[in-house]
Amino acid sequence: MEFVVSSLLNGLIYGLLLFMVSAGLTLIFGMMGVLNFAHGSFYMLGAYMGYFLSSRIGFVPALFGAGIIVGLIGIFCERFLLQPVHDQGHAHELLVTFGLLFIFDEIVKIVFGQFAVSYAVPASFSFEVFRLGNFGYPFYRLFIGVVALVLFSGLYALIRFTRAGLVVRAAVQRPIMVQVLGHNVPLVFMFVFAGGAAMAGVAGAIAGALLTTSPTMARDIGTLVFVIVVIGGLGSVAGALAASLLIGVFNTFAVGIDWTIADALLADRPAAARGPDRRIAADTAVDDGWGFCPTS
Amino acid sequence: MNKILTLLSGAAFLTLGAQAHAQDALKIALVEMLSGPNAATGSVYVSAAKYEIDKLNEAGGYNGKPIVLLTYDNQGTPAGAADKVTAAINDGARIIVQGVSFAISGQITDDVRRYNLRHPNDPVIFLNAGSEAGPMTGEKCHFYHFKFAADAASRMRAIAKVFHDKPISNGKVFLVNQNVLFGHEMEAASRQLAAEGGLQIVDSVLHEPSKLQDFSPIVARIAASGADTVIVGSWGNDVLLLMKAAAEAKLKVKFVGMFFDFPGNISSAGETGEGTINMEVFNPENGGAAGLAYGRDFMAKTGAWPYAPQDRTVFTLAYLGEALKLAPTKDGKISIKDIALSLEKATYQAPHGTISMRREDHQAYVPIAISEVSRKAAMKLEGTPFGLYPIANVSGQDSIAPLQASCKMTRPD
Repeated sequence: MEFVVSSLLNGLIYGLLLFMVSAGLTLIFGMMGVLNFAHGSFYMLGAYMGYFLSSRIGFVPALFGAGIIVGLIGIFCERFLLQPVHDQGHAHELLVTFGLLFIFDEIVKIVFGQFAVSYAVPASFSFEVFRLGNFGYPFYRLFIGVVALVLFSGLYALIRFTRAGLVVRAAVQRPIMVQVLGHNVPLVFMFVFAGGAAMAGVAGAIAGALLTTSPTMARDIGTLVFVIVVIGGLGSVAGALAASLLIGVFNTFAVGIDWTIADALLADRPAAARGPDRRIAADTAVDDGWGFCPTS
Repeated sequence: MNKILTLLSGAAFLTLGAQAHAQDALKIALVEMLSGPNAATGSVYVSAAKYEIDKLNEAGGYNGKPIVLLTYDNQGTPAGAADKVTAAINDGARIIVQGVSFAISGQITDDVRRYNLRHPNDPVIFLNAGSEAGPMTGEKCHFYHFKFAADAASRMRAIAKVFHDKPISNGKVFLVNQNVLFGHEMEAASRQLAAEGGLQIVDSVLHEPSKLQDFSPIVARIAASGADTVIVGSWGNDVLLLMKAAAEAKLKVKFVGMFFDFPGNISSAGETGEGTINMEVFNPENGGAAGLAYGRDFMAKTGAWPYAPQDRTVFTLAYLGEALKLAPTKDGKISIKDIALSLEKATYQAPHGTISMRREDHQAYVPIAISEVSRKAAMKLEGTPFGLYPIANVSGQDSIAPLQASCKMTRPD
């Protein structure tokens, strides 16, 4: 029972963390019409900024700082790298973001080194809130959940109930019409991009302390948030939230439970047909590049 | 004047050319993962190989010439490795060194075996400095492959001996491994040797490598199992994520595993890491004064304190240096077959024990250094108050895995 409760909580909170990253990605997709490959990089940059700033200005200010700096990097990327190729079509924008992924990876390696840096949850955040059996539930995870929910409601309110949100929604659907009505659409796009990047940056700064802060972070999360954005429906923030929670919970339970569908299908077979052996076979199957060689 | 200079340099060039032909330099190719997301793992082999080759050259090189080290980027794929092995052989290298990933080592050892079948008079040696998988000295074993890596079985035999001599835990053990060949080998070895160390395995988990971000569900299972010791075969980021998740849940367990000396791990784990037991082929402090001297020299020359894969590479090449002493060249001609035969006979005195070679499957007898992340360590690592404090050294004879029946080696003599 306590396993189910703790896994459910962990899954929801992991899902909320994923949502902070995927919300920006889905918004940017809605606007540009292409997936931003460099979005995971914003998450990674956020973690490194959090690491760099937290030892200097404190942890909570560092979260804001990371968001602001990554947002500014987002503005730079949108204004000076993406806007110039906007007229060339989607393929060009896609390639620019793909290139940025590599550039950010290498920059981080040059500045902070190839290995993980020591960025940890500050002691003042590391206490248990309540106990589940012999398993203490850490405060920091609840903190992640709260930050994500605050961001989600802020974003939702902004898009739904303010005039700026109205312009953003209109600019996403009918950019030319909005421009004709006198709004500066490129500026709107720039701020949406910066907002998405900033959210990923904050998520990185929070998650970097909980997980690890290393140059592989961008790739670790990149695929997962793409999946989330596709499941949630491209461009839909509410869909991204639902998909994030789904994947977070599913992932957590899948790790905790050692059981596969194949095990069930093979349940009536002798033990030799099941178990780890078949996975070993799959693992070693890469060996033979020259299968035609009779001696191999 | 100019004319004389030209003449002279021409003559010098001619004699040099003639000498190079009569007296070849020994070329060693390091075919490692130097680009891509795992470049950090592979690139450390380069500085270690360079460190030891420089030492061998200071001592006179081989065949009257400095040994040449060539490096190739296998791009982290078996296909890339196959290409680079061909390139290295074309460039004149007849000794290949590699270590990261069984998929790649498996490819290289097969390529080398096939090359040797086709060119029995011009063989190539593969020095395996890191790939631990059983098949390397089992079904894939061949005469020109030499394995200097430890493996799941030898590590577990060593730790079982330590647990037996000095009970560190209440005996309840949880196993965490990656769902890849090495993880399965670790789990099998742990189960097999649990009884020997007086341990009881209460639960185990296999997880996908480098996919998982949140290890809290595994920590929840560890907590539920009542284990006080967790044997971890996972490596890289996964170990770190597991330890961080355990620290977060305030789970009090002792971690026993490997690769804790990977740069960044000790500082990232912080206080959580204290008391963690590392089982590796070497740790400078386990080698006493000589080991520390080696560590300091390595740091002075390469800029970083050595960690286990680098130690393995250094020992592999130092061992090759010993073998080269037993295989003097005749008339300036290098015989790779003679070098391979003396690789079977050589011994190398590492700071923490002797390394020698088992003739039957070319698995080296490598001593295992068991150490603990502790404040007592002489050499503090990564700006933390912690270092790796020695617990025990288990000799290669005591830790080596038994011979595998699947190894059928055809000898050239």
